[in-house]
Amino acid sequence: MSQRQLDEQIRQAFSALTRPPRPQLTERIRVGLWAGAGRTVPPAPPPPLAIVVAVLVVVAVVAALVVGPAAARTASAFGQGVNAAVARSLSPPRSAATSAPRTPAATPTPAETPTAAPTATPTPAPTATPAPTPPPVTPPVATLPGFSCSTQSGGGGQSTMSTARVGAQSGYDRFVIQFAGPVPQFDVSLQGSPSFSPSGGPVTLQGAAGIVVVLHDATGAGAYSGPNDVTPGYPEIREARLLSDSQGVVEWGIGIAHAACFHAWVLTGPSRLVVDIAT
Amino acid sequence: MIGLVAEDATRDMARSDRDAFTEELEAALDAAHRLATVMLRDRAAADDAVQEAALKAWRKHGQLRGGAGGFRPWFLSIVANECRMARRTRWWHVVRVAEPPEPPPVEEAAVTGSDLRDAVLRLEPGDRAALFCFFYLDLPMEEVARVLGVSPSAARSRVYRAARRLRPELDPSEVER
Repeated sequence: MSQRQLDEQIRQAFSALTRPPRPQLTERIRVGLWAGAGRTVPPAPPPPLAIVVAVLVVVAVVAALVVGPAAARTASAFGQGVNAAVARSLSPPRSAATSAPRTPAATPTPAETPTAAPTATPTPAPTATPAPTPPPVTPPVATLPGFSCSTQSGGGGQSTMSTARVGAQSGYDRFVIQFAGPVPQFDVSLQGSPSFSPSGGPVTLQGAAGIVVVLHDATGAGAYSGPNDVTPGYPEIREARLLSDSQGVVEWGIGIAHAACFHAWVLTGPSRLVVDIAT
Repeated sequence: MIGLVAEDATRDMARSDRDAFTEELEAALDAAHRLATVMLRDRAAADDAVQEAALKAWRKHGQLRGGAGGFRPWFLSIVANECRMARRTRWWHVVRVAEPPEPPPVEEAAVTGSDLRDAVLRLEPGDRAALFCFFYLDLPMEEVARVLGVSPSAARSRVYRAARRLRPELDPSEVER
């Protein structure tokens, strides 16, 4: 086994051992940081979840033991009232005949609740909503933090491209351009087809969609030692090709298996532009 | 990026600071969370450590301005520190992430696939962090050192030693990058 293979296997081991953070973590950190607007010192973190859950469970058990029967009656009466109210508000307004007899039932008296309590479980609310709901819209989902399907830009400065490579990780494929100098201004955008029209003429890459990477104030002339065209056959990246390099503008095309969200970001030392494409 | 933050500060310091900080933080979150998972071997504990690290990073983000190396390695070093503290001081974390007993000696044969994963999990958390930063995050050795809070030469020997435990016949010169 060569060193390169071992490197790759260690990388894959870590890839298998870790997963991207849950999206809720981003929200949790934001809330933790900015909940007290303008405060420089954020609040202390909440107590461990296990303790909170334990306290809630104890409180619930004690409450059930102490005020059990009474609470159950109140709850069922409340539930019935709510169900009736929901059914009323959801029923079609034009059918006056059906809504009229339901109204008296919507005000349960204490006298009828004890007998109704054990059998009060079926709720009329779900059956009272035959109204057609619009089919759910399913846009491309960007679940990983930083991933989005719209154009992403950044960088700045004049630079020379030294090499480029691709890699497959769990959850995304990665395309990396390395520079001698800062990462130049870049625009990375998704397009619906793998056909590109750089200055040299139209090109169609493998795949069913494309991502175009445009670098400004950059060149690979005389310094670029990486591949001009790779077809790794990864889940998402099917082909990456250096489309053009002229007059300070470098264009890369990535042919991808299907339109997917991506995350374009920068690494330093050596400076690299990284495009992660969700798989 | 850091220079831009410094310029904006004269105009609307608090807001631009916060926006820039949030942006940098969220770009580094994936790497940070994976690092914490690697060190603590527990996703929920990693969540806690990353959140705590984010709070600490915000408290002292003034120290970053003008510092070399950028936000990511700086933040990762805070996360790594937080993970070390979580293992040391909080008993429920220590229990949850308790290490297995001394690992059996690694066979001479190459360890691959799930064997390799098991071998990675048997390493010390600090060694796992070193390998993770070097091989997975692709950080240069100076930044690995910064994350681990050690000198570059110590980081290099740590990466070498840990990689060697995964595969004994590794040539040390090949770890140079």
